[in-house]
Amino acid sequence: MNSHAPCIVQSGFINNIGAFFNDELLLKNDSNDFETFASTLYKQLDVKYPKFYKMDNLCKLGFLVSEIALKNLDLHQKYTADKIGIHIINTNSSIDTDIKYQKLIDQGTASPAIFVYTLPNIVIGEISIKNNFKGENLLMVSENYDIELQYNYINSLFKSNCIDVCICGFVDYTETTYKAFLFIVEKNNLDSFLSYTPTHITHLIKEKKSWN
Amino acid sequence: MELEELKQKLKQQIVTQLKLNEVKPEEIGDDEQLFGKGLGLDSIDALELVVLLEEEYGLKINHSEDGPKIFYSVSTIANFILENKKA
Repeated sequence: MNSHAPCIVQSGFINNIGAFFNDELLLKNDSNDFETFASTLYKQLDVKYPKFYKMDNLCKLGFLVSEIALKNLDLHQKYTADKIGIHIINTNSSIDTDIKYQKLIDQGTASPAIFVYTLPNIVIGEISIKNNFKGENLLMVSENYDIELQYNYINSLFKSNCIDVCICGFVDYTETTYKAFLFIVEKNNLDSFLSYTPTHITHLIKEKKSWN
Repeated sequence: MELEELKQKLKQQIVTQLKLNEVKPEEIGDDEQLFGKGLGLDSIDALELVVLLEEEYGLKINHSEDGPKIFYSVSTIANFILENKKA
């Protein structure tokens, strides 16, 4: 329907209820803690990436939702690595790891492996390294998921020919709550029926249970 | 601590400290290369091993250029610990 206009191809979603590919439930969350759920999901997705276990929770969440959003999709078949971008918004930055690291400092110890995760944009690095994506990327921290801001930013990247496809959305983790929604937007797509507009993203989010 | 006992302890500590969840300690060869090939450890892992040596064995690496030799394998780490503990 929408030719030569940015379109949403597919999406991944994770929250305390479960993990979803588009609207399909991949794994119901029966765990009380995120780490158990994340480990189960990692095994179910059959991802072979041992560095997963070294990641902090924000990165695990972003990594897993990106694996779902990219399911059965080989972007390298259509795009060069430098044309594949990532744009993520988050509200609590890397607070979960920041608190853990501060506790270590208070105890007089250090951990380089934890320290490296005291920057939220590392989640983009983990996704990029795993998938060999080398295009423009940015993580924005804002009070709410600003769909309009993200839409405008990604469209400006498309219009300036910086990128041709983008993995974008929202990934947020705190000790008490977590939520991740990533979707794939292609600059020119002849097959997708869903054009990339703030209205459509808002609609997709409202469909997700327990988004708020 | 004897060399063999130390190597087994080091393998367990490496797996735990570096969160190598898909590796069993007994699968790590004594002389297996830890970085690059072999276990494929990276620069952050190297820093974690430096911290491990300091906190668990009270040893510091005074010359950073010695790092690659010391951390080449479990055997080289164990030898470094035994030699410097004696000193």
